[in-house]
Amino acid sequence: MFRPLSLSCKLRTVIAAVFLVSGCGNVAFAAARPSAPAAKAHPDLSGIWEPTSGSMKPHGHPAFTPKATAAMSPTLTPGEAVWGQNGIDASDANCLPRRQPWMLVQSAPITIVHDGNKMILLYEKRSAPMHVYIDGRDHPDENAAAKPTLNGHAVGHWEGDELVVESVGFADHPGHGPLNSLPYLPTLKITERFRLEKNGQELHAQFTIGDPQLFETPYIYDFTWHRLPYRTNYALVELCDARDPARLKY
Amino acid sequence: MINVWVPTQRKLLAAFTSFMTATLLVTGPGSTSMAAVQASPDNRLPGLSGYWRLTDKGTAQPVLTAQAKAEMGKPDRKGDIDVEGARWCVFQGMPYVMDNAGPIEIRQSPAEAIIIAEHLAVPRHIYFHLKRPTADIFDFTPVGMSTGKRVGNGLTVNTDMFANGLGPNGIPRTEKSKLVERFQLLQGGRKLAVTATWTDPGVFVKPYVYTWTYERIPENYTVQEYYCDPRANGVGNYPPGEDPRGNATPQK
Repeated sequence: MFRPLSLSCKLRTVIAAVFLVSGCGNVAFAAARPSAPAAKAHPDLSGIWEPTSGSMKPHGHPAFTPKATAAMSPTLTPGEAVWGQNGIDASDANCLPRRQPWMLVQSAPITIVHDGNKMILLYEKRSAPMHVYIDGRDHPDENAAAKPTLNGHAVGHWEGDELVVESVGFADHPGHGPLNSLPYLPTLKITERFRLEKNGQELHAQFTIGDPQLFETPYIYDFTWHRLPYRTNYALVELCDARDPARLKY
Repeated sequence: MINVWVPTQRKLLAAFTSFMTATLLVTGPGSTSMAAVQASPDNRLPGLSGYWRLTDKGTAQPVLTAQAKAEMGKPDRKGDIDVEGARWCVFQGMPYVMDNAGPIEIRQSPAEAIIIAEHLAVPRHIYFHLKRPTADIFDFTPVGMSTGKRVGNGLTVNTDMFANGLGPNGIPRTEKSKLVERFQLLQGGRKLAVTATWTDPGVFVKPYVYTWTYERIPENYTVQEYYCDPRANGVGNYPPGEDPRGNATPQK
């Protein structure tokens, strides 16, 4: 039976309830939403994230420059050679902190605390926090007396629901290089693109390692973590004491 | 009034509900911004996140047991800093994280708050909804295990399972030490007061209570890097036969 169109309370209630459940950002509702000037909420990347099986997916092989090839085959002192045979290096022997990108793509979980203006990434094992500024600031001017740091200077901005983090200004401290045993040079730039997938239960990142002195073309790989339940998981604190003689015995 | 040929209201309601149910199943409930941590209640303290510089440690003094006094009187004790440990870049823990190792940075997510002291590498994690692990499975650490929740206009944090070390003012911190902290914002968020209550039956005759006050640092601050290499402090490990101090390095 056909009747004149007039919405009943029941229909209006259903429509309102569905809008409330879907929340903001649902593309299906974009056209039907009232024209209120609300700020778009960005995804919250906070959580404890553990790598999944087969997490790392490189985009082909790295294209090293001759300088990079030479840097990966350094001449060792006799003492360094002894250490190397025992799987020891200066970084491990002295409990020096690890850093990005190496620390982000290991088997242990990472913790991300993200509050809008700032994101901090923490690797569970011996490492330094990675500070990402998402407050609109830029990198220090080239002429500024900015001191190179372990994790570089990292700034982020949103491209849709993807957080793009760019890091420059790395110090060349001992330890794992941006790839293999490559050095951290002033020309290094690391870009990470983070996004949530599978209803926020997976964190995906695409890493781009770029340094014209070391790579003919930037080296790219993807990495995936899955979310650990927050009620039953906590970060393990690794404490390293370089006085422990066991560190020099393998 | 113009009569428009349309389905009945019931059919419209059914069609609309079916369509939206299907949409939700495909797209998920809302954007991914909602899907992360549906933690309830929200224990974050508004305004707590930011950078803070310690400006006042008050004057409260502890009442120590005889055992603690004897420990404090040992010749190798040098106040509240493990000097030898600091040379070797060993993490000292609590309460040093909240003290001269600053400024401190506090960031909150729905599941936890972290506190990072600028001059230290290891952060504090304060979990808002974690089921606390038991002592038989948790490895005691210098920062212990912290859980927190909003109580009134402040954040109350409970910490225990500390590893042995130096506590406030160099007082012994033991595996039996417990700490309750109350974080409260003052002066419209320009200041932060943290009232700490330490208890330990072998150390304190009565609970040791003090309040430390911090001032907010502008949010455009850039965190300075902590990097500690024991070799820069006159200690550290070198490859065999290459110690510039002429020491023999332990070998396999």
